[in-house]
Amino acid sequence: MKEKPKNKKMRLMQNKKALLGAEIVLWIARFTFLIIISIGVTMIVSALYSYSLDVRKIEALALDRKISDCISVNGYLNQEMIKNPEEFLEKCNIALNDEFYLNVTITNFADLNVFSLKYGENLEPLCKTTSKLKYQPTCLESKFYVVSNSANQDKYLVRILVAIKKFDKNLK
Amino acid sequence: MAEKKFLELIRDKKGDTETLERFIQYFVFAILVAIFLFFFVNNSLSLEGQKSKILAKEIVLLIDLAKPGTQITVNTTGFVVSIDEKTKEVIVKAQSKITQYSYQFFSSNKIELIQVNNETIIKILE
Repeated sequence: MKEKPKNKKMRLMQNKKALLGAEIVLWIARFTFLIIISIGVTMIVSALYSYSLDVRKIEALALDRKISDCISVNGYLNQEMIKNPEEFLEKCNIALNDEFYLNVTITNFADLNVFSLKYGENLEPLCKTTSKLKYQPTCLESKFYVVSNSANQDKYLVRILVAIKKFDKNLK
Repeated sequence: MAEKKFLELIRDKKGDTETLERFIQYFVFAILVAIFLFFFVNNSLSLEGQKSKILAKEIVLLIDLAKPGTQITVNTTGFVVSIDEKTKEVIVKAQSKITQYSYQFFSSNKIELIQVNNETIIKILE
């Protein structure tokens, strides 16, 4: 049976549309391929050539030392510094931000708190956790004894807990 | 007759500019991607970026550990060191790079920074 010329023309027109559609799909595939390749290269290079340099332990040590030096002068309790907990950091020339957690307590031998300072979001539970977390703060706890300058030389126990987050600059 | 003409039109690739346009668009995109990758890989492979990270952290630790009155001299060949007093950050920029690295310190002592040739002198004031 011979096809009518009008029908043939319509079929050819439809073929042209199909061809165009296939071409678009092909171009999309090419773009996707290029994007996947570039993302892959970026990820591989980032993984191979970037390394984290974690200095938080030294930072915690530096902060701990600075606080210790502030509280104790030659083994004696610096009464001037612990008068007002709110002014403590300023007097010690320490300016902390929300990346830090600090807990300083000074107790006498009757177990009474004579000084207490807490700064920042409480990170103590994260410091004590035994489970391995991807982003764990670096914690440093130190304890030492000081004596007062008074004649009876009262003894005090100083406990300093420093915790530093700074995940972005040290773990990534 | 009409059928023949239509077939000829389809086969006539000289008049088909659509494919060429798409090819140029793809080519430009591919070049842009290649340029980005080149700069990214070049930046990652060079040690300048890592060195500025190390230098910034090193200076921050020195500042945090130093007592007032201390003067620290650091060899900073190829790098520009600056301090942002507001954000309390040490900023290190490699001279050959556009990017810079910064790290925060906690010391609130006044700091004076002097650049002498290839060295940076950091003075920790009261």
